[in-house]
Amino acid sequence: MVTEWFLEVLSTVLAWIIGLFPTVELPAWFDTGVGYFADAASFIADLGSVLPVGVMALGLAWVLLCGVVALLIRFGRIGLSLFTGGGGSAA
Amino acid sequence: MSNLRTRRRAGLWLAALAGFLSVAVVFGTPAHASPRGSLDSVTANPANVVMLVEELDGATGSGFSDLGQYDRDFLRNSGVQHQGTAKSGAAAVKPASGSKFKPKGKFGAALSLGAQLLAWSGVSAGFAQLTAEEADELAEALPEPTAGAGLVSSGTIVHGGSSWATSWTLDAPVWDATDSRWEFDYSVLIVDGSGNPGSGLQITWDCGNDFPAPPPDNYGATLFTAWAAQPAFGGPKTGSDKAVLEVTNTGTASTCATLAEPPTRYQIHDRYSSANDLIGSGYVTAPSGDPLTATRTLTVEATCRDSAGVPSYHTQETSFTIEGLTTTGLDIPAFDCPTGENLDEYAQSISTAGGADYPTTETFTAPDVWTDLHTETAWGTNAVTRIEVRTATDPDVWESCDSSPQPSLCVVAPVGNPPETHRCVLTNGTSSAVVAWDRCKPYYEPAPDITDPAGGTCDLGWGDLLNGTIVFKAVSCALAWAFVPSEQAWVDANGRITGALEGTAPGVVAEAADGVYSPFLGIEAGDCSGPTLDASFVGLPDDFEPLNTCGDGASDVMAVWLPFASVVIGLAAFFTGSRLILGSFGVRESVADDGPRV
Repeated sequence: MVTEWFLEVLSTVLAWIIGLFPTVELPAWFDTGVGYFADAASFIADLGSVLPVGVMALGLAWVLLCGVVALLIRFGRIGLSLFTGGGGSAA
Repeated sequence: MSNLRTRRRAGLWLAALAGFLSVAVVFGTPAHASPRGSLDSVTANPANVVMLVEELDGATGSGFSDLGQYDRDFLRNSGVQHQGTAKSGAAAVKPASGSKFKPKGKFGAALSLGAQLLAWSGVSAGFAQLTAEEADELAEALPEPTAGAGLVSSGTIVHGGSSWATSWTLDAPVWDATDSRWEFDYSVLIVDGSGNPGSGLQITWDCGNDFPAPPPDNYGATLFTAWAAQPAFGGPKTGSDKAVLEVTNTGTASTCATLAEPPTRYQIHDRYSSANDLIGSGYVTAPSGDPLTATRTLTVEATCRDSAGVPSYHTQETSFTIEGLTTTGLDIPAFDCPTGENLDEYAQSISTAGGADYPTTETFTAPDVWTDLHTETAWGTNAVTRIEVRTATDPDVWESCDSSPQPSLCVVAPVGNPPETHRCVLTNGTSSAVVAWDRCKPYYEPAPDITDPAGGTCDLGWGDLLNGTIVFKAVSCALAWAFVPSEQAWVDANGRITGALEGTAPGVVAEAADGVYSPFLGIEAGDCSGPTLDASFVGLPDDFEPLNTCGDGASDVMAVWLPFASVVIGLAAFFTGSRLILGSFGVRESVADDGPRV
């Protein structure tokens, strides 16, 4: 019950924050552009005859993941630096 | 500065290596071998002499065996005799030589006598090693083990190079109808080479059945412990029920043996009474399939009168045989007045004596007094008594607690601290007793469901949350109720957030991003054909494949190139990702130790 209460409060607050953003619609050209991304993916897959595209995709995903994690760590350090007088700055 | 960065970097890598090694150690550590040895290992060691009682058959006493050195004459006429009476269902410790003890406590489920392991301890150093001549002298000096009624087995053992010795007797188990358990008398004599009592003996339970071991006991000099368990309140014993009496000077070996079937209770009813009056009952222990065969005597005292009213007094005894536990309609011609006389007064009884061809534990309890048995009698006719034998089941005072859900009056409490997992105290509102685990289990199981307590109610009593972790059900249930969110709570929270994302900028952006990267998810390399190029406008075929590597020469090159490129790309990705992570901690690779930060 205690955890459920926190879950409800957090989800309500998060939903309220999200609701502060304006309502938008994707432009019409985006649907066409998405088709280009699919063609590009197909072309990259065909390059598998001369390039290890599977490994490349995996490596790219790894780098992106590490980048996100690194970003979170930096944000965490920045947050901590507020309490440590700058000693934990991510600068 | 560069040295500092180098040390920090090295420290991080060392920390990662230490973590990996810790995981490897945790998951790679082999399980500890059980400290308990096997019977084979003990008997294979000449220093470990085992006295073993197996196949403990209360009726015949057969099946005892001695797996160790056996010298019946060794302990004659000397030493200290330790005697005791072990009642099934509880531990017993003999406090002093010669005194009796009767452990109390009820255990359900298993019909088993306890395993006794007397392990030699450090005091062995004080026992002299006997020569053959000294052993002979001691054998002459020691008394014959005292045997009680119903002796089924006895023997002596010389232990560990004659450093100490044991003699023992074991009487036939007797069924205790009151406590619904077996009782047996035993005596154990433990002496050292000088005829002094053995000491420092460690006693542990190790029967290997579903009746777990109590903590090891080390009682010192003159103690002996017996364990036994009762059947489940008159229920049949199971195949795992064991009995063992075992003595060894070292090691922890044990084995188990099987008890006889529990006795069957029978009742004798008066068929001619309106309520089929119970006129006697008893217990019989018989191998499966053997019928009860018991001889009883019906005694009649009658007064007859002739036509002038002159009385004549008569006594008549008639023996009859009960065959089988469901003898029905056994008519016994009880008495017939002399010709010309009519029956005036009549009384009869069934004797408790008369013997029984079988059983051995029969305890016929018919009233040994005159009783008003009903008879078919009339003036001038014979008096006939008809009896009936039926099997019966002992009343189970805990039966009401076995219903589900358990009545609120029935409460189970752990025994011991930490709580023992083989017995508990059961209270049914009027009385309490220690009962076996099978009786406790309904109160401990099933463990409260802490993953989804929504809608459920918390049971009372004790529950086995994990193996050996016994908690009060209400506590665990309350904790689950407080801190484990229900599945519906997760669904509600997720719906609240996804509903807010609908149409708003964050939701639209996330949806657009999904459309962009989803085509690249799970991308897999095509075959050796490569992409097709339509360059017909320059005279090339419209299916031109400039990167086709299906040819022999190209495929050979690709067989080397692709693995090499995979390794290079993989290493580059790994170090790039690592660089990002390390960079977030302020650790950066540098071109040169004294160069600028990158």
